[in-house]
Order: sequence, then structure tokens, then C-alpha cells
Amino acid sequence: MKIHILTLIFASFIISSCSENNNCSGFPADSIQKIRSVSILDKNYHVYLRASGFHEKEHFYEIYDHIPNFDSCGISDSFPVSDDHVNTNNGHVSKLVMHDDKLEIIYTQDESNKVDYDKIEVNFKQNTRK
Amino acid sequence: MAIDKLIEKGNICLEERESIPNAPLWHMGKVAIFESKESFDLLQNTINYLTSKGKQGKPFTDNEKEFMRELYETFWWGGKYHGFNEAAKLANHYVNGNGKVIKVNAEAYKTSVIVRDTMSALKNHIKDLAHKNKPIASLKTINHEFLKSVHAKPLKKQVRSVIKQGYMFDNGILLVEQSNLRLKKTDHRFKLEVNTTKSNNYFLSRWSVTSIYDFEPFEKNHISDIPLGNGFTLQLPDGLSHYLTKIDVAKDFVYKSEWQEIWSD
Repeated sequence: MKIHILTLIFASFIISSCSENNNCSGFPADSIQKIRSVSILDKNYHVYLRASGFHEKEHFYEIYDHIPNFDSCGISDSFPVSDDHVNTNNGHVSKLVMHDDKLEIIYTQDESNKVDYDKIEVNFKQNTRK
Repeated sequence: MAIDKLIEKGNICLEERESIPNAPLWHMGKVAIFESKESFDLLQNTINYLTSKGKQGKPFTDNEKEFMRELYETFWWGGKYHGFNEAAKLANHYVNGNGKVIKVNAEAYKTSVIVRDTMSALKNHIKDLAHKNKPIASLKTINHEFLKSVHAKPLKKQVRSVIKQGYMFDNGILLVEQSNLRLKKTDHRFKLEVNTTKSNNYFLSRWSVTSIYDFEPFEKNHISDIPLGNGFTLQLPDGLSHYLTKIDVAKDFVYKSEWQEIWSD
């Protein structure tokens, strides 16, 4: 009984603590991992991997032209330059390509060419327009 | 030497087993309020220890089972507070629902951008079918005829913002817009179904979503971050959540949401 009362008190503590900040304390949130920084045409970009959702995970790559701040919910203080969703229906992830300001995941059907999500390389491909 | 190490490991194992915390919520509160690293370490070490046992397929003691059950019950508190009512209900049902089918508040779906856009697309498709005197009684987003229709095109990834609008996969499964925290924590991807009857110029559509609540096994290496405030974040492997179904702590279940709408041609 005592334990239950104390637990309720601490639950209210969590709630009051959470009310001080707009955060996601006490519930699964997106996890954000910085993959790498790349320099493309003298501009620096920062690539992040987002694991989103709880029992149904989805993964996203996001590329920023600055280092963003993420809150505890995984929400950044600015929009990425570009992002792409890992659609596992398309095959295995093999690399990322930047077409000017657009990020694209390249997939492979060949399992030997797949890479771990957080070990992915970023290439640059300039669009040629006549 | 090898035996000494085994004994040492066994002793550590015993110590850890004795220190399974009784009330995860209590320790989460201590982390949130008092920035207690001791409580944080106790929680994370317990999760790590149980993960190790789960990976080896070992049974859990009653205390260990109770710890995991209560950890999930804390998600009910956290989810409720942040307005993730449906996700909170599902997490609690995972360890207390005995695998029974559960209904989810339709508002979570009805207010989603991708759901609203898909309902609109399906209604246009239904109107087309009705004009051609084709069957409209039962349709799904995964139906081939809908997927190749002109109405499905605005739902494709190429023309949408994944963050703000979500999109429909080529196979008709919908991915929730990432800005919608409430729904993506409840149901990240699903197919939308609709049963429709027509009377004069009016249609009665009953919309529904049916999903399964389960977790990926250890092999997928998925991990859920649980922020506790003050920079402390617990890491809970999805494989451990999955393993709970093997030791009778949790049960996968089906959850459904339904709503209806009368609309005119």
C-alpha cells in the first residue's frame, strides 16, 4: 500500500516535471543519431538517422545545412534541407545521393551490397540541365 | 582461471537479480526530479541484464516479470500526460490485455492528414465506380484498381511532404505524417478500408483500420529511446519487448478503429 502511494506521488512528480518543458518524458520518443558530416560544393551538410515510432519503427535520413537542436521528442528546431524515408519494400539500403538539394536513398536487391543504416555513405550528383 | 571468471560472473548475476527494482515509476520519478544517476543506472542496468537473459532465451523470475510489466505501465502514465492516449492504452494493454482485441478512438485517425487525403481519394474512386455501376461495397487502399487510379496519384511520395503529409506506399499501405506524434506512436503504417452503401445520391461509408500490436525480435536490433528528463534517456530494445510474449508477460493483439460518414455525390 505504501509503495503504491509513493508511486502515485512520484507519478505526479513526473507529470509536474514534464509540464515545465514541452518534452516527451516517460514515453518512447524518436531516436536521433548523427551519421556524418559531408562537404558538398564547399557547403557543409550534416546527415542524421531518425528511428521513429514505438512498436512500428520507421527510419528516415535527414540532411541539414547546419547543426540542429533536437528536443526530447526528437523534433528539430528547424526543417532539414531534405529527407528521405527508408522504404524496406524497395530493398536494402546501399547509399545516399544528394541531387543538388534533394536527398535520395539508393536501394539494392543484392544483400551483399547492403549497408548498416548508420554506416551509409553520402554521394553527390549534380543535375545537368541544358 | 576460467572457473574463477565463471564464479565471478555468477556472483554478479546473483547481485543483479537481487537488485531488480520493485517500482520503475519510482526510479523514473527520481531521475526526473532529483536527476538521480543511481536510479537511472539501476533501471538501465536492469534492462540490459534482462536483455541479456532474453537473448539467451532464459526464463525470468517473478520479480523480473513484474519489473517489465510495471515498466510498460509507466508508459500509460507518460503517454496519457503527453496526450498520446491511444498509444498509452495500447502499451498498457500489451501487458494487461491478455491478447484481446481492443478498439482505438477514431479521432486519432480522422485528424491525420494522410487519412483525410486518402478518404477523399477513395470517395472520388467510389463515385467513379458508382457511375460505372461497378461494386462499391468493400474497398481497401491496397486494391489494385484504386492504386492504379488517378485518385491515388496525389497520395504518392513524389508529390508529398513525408513530414507534414505522410504518403502511401506503392502497395497501398499508408505512412503517417511524422509531425503527427499522436498517431505515429499509435499506428505508424496501416491500410484503410471502407464499406459503402448508396441510397439515391447519398453514400454511407464505414471506415476502418485493423492493425497488430507487436514488436520486432532481437535480430532486428531496434531500440526505443525513453527520455526521462534532465538529459537521461533509457534505451529499451524492441527485442526485449518482443521476448515478453515468450514468457507470458505480454501478448500481441489486434486493435481496430472504426468511424462512419454520410456524404453526397
